[in-house]
Amino acid sequence: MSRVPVTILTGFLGAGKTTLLNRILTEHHGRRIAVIENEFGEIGIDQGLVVNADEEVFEMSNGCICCTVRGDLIRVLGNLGKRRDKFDYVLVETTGLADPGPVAQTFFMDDDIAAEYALDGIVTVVDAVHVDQQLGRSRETEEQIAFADVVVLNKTDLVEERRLDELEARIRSMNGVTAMHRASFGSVAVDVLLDQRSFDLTVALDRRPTFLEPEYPFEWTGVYRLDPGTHTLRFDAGPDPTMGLAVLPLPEATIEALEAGAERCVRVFAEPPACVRVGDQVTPGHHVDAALDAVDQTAVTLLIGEGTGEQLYGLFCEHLAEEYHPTVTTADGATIAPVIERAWVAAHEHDESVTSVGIEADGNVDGDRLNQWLGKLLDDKGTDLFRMKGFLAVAGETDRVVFQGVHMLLDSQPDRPWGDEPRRNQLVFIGRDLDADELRAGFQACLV
Amino acid sequence: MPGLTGRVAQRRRAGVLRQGWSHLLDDYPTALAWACGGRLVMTGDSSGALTAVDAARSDIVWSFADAHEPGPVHLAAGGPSFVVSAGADGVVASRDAATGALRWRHELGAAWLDTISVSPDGSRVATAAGRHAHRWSADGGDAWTSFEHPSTVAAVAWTPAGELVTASFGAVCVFGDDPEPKARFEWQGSLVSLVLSPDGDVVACGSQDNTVHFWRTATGTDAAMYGYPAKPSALAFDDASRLLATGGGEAVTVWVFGDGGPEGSTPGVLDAHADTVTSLAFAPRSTTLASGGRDGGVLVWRLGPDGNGKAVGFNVCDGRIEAVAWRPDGRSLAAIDASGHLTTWRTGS
Repeated sequence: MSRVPVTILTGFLGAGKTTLLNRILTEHHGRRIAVIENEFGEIGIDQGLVVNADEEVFEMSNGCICCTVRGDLIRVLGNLGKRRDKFDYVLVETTGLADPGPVAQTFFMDDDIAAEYALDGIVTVVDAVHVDQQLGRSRETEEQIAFADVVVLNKTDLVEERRLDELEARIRSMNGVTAMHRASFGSVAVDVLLDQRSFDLTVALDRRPTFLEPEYPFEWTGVYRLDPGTHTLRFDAGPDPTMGLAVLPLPEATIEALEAGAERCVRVFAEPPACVRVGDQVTPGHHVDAALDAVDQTAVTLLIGEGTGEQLYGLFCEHLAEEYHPTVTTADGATIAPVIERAWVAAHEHDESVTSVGIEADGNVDGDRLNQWLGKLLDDKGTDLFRMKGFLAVAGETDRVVFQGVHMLLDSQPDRPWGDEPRRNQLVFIGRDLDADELRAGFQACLV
Repeated sequence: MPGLTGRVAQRRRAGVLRQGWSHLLDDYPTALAWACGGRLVMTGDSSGALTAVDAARSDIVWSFADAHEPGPVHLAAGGPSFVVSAGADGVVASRDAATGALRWRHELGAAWLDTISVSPDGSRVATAAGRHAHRWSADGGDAWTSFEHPSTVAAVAWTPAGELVTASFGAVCVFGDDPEPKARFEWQGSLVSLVLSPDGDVVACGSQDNTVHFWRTATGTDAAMYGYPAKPSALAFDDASRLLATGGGEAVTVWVFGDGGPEGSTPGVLDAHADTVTSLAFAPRSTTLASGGRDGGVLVWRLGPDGNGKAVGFNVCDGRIEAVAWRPDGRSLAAIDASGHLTTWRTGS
């Protein structure tokens, strides 16, 4: 008997959950969807079988929050299961303040529910206008993002593009494995929300986690066409005392070339910077820290070496152009505008308590040591670990082992033979106050 | 269900269940009760229908397709003469068992009603709607409502003296005439099932955290039984108040009360189902137990004084067993399963 898939819809009040819900119900004509609602939305739900449930969190006698389930869901789903022929999908809309943990755990901890329902995924609707404030104030919003398999960044029509890039990067720094879609008025294709099989180990890992995207030490790059000779580079005064920067030649003025250049520039930025002051010279290929101590504008001399005519250079800046307005002028005083530019959102911008920690390592792990380490980790940190996913090369096993977990509930199974593929491990932990170094060291110690 | 059929096949020669008749209902059956002294078997189903079947001739005596709005229906028989039903429409209704004629009907609002019970002497009826328990006299009058429980009331039951007992998150409450409970037995966990020993000395609950918790009503002393692989949603006491059969996994675990137990004792373990036990019922005035499982199996067990026993009858239905119920004389057993069948057997060796 196939289990009925369930999607959990979370998001702060006003983020647009109900709009999205109505959209799903309107568009998904082929499905008979039952909706379990926990609050009165901004607007009514007009279709489908709608059941109201009073959120009831059942804590266990052992006090373990990882065993906490939602009693209202158990009751309602139990009753709905007896009307199985009348629907084939369930949407659970939680209140804006709901902790997604117990909702998700209900589908694993309760025998009766697990027998009849399969959690398909957690969709979190984020209000692009207000999420920045909410993230500072509300643990619930952080946790809803941390638990998400899919984030819908809603109300994007009210926010400018660059801001959206920053928000996406902020959300990714918290949850590196979530899929993310932009929407206004909940306009997102239903097939990226439902039937995701996010908790199905056989498909969950086919989506490559994005947590391994590099975190750049610079926030903005402009690409300029520059002749050999002397140029002037100016920055406005701003909140930071110095501006880290590097100038690198680029082969062409495309985003791809720029992104490839960014990889090279990360290594340049890794070198200790030389300090430069007003009037000092800056040459391509070096990491410098320009002291922004002039009252209005700081100007340094940009010396482009002997070359054969005009060439493309990327100016990689530690801080955003909109804050410091970098300008490049020729010796004649003509201003050169960038051909293309790109903001990189540096991960250090927000000090999130909820983060993703990705671990990648070649080779094999010792199964026993890994179990011991994970067991202790879950004992100590299970409450703060929201989600984990990954695959492992276990010494002595011919198959890749895939695993994933919600709090302390960990599920793993062999996936496919490694064959000729190099054996390696990839894990991601999403949680609160995670110590990345400790996690990495702990995992390293399990390698054989 | 190969596991079950495989395991019980060896006991084929010992079968005491002789197939009676089987009825295919219109929808998923959710409630089962014998009425009129065992002359009728009644079911409720997910369409909101109630059906009464003549136990001897297997024909339908009465049926109401729209007894309740669509949704699971729950049923209880009151003495020989009436049945009460509760549904997802928030309605409690009482009907004449023999004719199906409506006696009374109360609407409790939007809440789904998941439990209904008639007091042992047939004089009172109770249900729960959300966080409130409701009680009436058998004629539908004398309405009484409990205080607001801290969470949804999962089950209601009665003491032999006719006092209402409720189970919810964190506590069992016993009520006199006051809306506030006269006694509370607390346990920091979600209580999902409830049974009282027929002598009223023990109240037992299955809890969401895979334990069975019980209290001695006279003293309030309590104990918890750990080690269940699943939540014990099926519980049954024998008429002598000595054996407590509990589900909570594939095995039936039987605790023996008396001789200082069950604290510190080893329970009887009845192991034959291939999936979670969903329903348990002791035959009247005996230690013969019927068990139904998610595997579709119906087994009959003869239990010894230590709670252990052997399966003496078996059958496999087409779907997960929703409920098993003995005829008041103990000579027939009925079961409803997820395939929509109401099946009866005659029992005897």
